[in-house]
Amino acid sequence: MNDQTLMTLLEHTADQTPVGPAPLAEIARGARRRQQRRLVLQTASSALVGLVLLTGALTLAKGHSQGNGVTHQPVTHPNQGKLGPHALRIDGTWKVHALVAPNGTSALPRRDRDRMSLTFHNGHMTGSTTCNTITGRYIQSGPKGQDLKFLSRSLTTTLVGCAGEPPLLATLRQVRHLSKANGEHYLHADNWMILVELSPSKSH
Amino acid sequence: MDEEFADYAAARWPRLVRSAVLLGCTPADAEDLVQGVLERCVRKWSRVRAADNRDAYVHRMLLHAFVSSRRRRWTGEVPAAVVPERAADDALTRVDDADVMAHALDRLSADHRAAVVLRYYAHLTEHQMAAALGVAPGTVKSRLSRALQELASDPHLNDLRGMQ
Repeated sequence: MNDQTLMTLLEHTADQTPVGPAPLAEIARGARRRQQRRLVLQTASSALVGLVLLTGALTLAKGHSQGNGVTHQPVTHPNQGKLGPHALRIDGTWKVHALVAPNGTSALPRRDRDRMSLTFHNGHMTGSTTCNTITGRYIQSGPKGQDLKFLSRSLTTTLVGCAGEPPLLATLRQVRHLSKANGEHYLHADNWMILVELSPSKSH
Repeated sequence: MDEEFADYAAARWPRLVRSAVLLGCTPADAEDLVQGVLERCVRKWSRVRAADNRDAYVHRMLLHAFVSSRRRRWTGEVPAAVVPERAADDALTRVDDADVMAHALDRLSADHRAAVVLRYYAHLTEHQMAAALGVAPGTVKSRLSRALQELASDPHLNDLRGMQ
């Protein structure tokens, strides 16, 4: 088979695939989100370093101080840890815009973006994977509300079998932190790697 | 978005998607893959623009993305020497040359298939292919040579050549 014949055959084969116009707006949005994620990761890394340094400094200070008899009672809510007055709030309904697998790759095909949702209210979470309903309880804590953890035993799902369902429940089990940037909320693993990107639903 | 990039992306989108399909993606996955590649190109546009051949540079990104996606999605499929008949073929009363070519590509290994697509559809030179595949130019030559031997021995392609 000569080169020209092979080229012609490949062109004909390729032409069988109908292709619409380039989704330029989506490409631009996707590029912006990638940039934002990079910024969040960099910020989170810096915050983590700062937190470690601060914790170290506080530990040293505590070692020097024997306490002055003043204790501060944390403000607690059912299923909530300590939350400062300016803490991040996760209450409300969010769309799952991105899901990240443990190896850092996307676990959510583009066509499923924003099709799953999570609703948070006072320590209770309900969600929809478009196929199944999930529920669970969570604890949010930290002075800035930056720590968030789902209680593993409380996480349940209906068991409708659907092919290709994204691993939302398994991912939520890994969540330990919460952050916010440019109107989006992010759920992070223990090492601050982004696991879930939440975008506001229309109800926000 | 840079206007030059927008023009480039709009012009190259169909060919890149079809390259991904020829490499082995479904059309939906191909669009996802190419969209992801172009999103990365937005950030790297100055580098893409400065490359000797922009298409070669972007095809290299496409190939890397394709290989990564395959690693993530490996489902235990093992390439068979004989591809099972597709149900749609039974309904066809005429041999469609595009379908024959698609079957022939399916029978190639991933490396050989990529070599054929990059050379004969993306029109990369041997050196550009070597850079895209991360191998020496000599390896590119031998992969192409073996791929062409396999295609030459494909009975359905032989029938097609006899009909042309």
